[in-house]
Amino acid sequence: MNDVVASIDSPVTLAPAEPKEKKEYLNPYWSNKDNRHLIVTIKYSNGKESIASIMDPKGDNPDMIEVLAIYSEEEIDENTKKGLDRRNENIRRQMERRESQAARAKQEALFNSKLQAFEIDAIKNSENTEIKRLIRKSKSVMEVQAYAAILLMKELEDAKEKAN
Amino acid sequence: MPKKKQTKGFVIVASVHITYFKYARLLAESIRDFWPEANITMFTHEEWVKSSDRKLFDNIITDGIPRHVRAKLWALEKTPYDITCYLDCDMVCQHEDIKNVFDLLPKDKDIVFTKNRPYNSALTKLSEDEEMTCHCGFFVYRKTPGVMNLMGAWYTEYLEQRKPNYDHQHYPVEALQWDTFTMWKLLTYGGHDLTWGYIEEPDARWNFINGYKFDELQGTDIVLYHFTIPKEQLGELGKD
Repeated sequence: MNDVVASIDSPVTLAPAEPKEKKEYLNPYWSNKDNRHLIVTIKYSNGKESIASIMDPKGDNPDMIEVLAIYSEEEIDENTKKGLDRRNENIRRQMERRESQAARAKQEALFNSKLQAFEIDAIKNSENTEIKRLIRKSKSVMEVQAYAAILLMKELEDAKEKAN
Repeated sequence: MPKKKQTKGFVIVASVHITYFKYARLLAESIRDFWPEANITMFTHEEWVKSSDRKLFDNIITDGIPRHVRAKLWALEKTPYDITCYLDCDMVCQHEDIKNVFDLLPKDKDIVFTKNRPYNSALTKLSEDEEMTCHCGFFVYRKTPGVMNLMGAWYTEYLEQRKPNYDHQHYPVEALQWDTFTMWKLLTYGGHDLTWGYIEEPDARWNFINGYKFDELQGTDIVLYHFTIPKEQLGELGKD
């Protein structure tokens, strides 16, 4: 089979330029406005998204130029404020969760100490409701232990008296 | 004719695992330490009941109780009292103000709850503008036809929402495991003939869940502390 050879005089048609990929710029906000540093989510035509950091100190970054063609500086400022508020809110929630975990650990230790005190038969079966109430109302493990010890001593003394 | 005095009492429910009943006993003992005359009804299974329990509880109901983790929903409409305080069995009483618990229900309300604290809850927010705000581990209610219908519906609707093909609409699928979700739906969209509300602050003292911040108490003392039964004590039930 012969190779097909194009004549040198054949007309040439230029191939169409590859279409520029369509990008959407979402939620741009300043990382550092003074340094013209912007963070933006870029959504590509295939649906994928990536977060881009755009530095544009000279004002010639094409991505920055496109972003500024879509969003005004005021809109970017507003996004920046909302982002900061969200971040602060997340930090506040995290701290609240952490505090709550610490409180939980403390409360569990106190509760367990009360539970253990009432597992002692002499305390469980004691009719001294006054001290039993104090144990139940105690606000620290130390207080539970102190009242539990007092109640045990009283129970022992009562038992001794009964024996005599 | 003189008005009949309203009966008031606590309802506790323990089913499926005996650990719940053990903690229910501790709860009743703690109430008795502060209020020896309190009325306490226990719904549980006959085989768990010891003779000493007949002294601890005024009333033990074992007939027909389903072996179900949400047996409480079945029991609530069977309360023997005109005004009932329902208590989860993983609670303990710590203060003599327990005697005032029935005063939490104002005359113009049929049922009152404490508020959920989102910082200490697995799930409260259901959508942008829908949130489960009532904690269903402690509440005080009146025996009215509207409330009894609500309680009956609570159990049947909960069973419904646990069916595999249940349409959870736009709500998170995790919500379906909670009876709080069922109650929220019934109160919000159920059209039941009742008035409900929240217990006045510091409501946290009446249902102080492990993990609540102490400043929720606003300088008052905890009346009922609500802990979590360690999962290992519940065997298979405690597994996620």
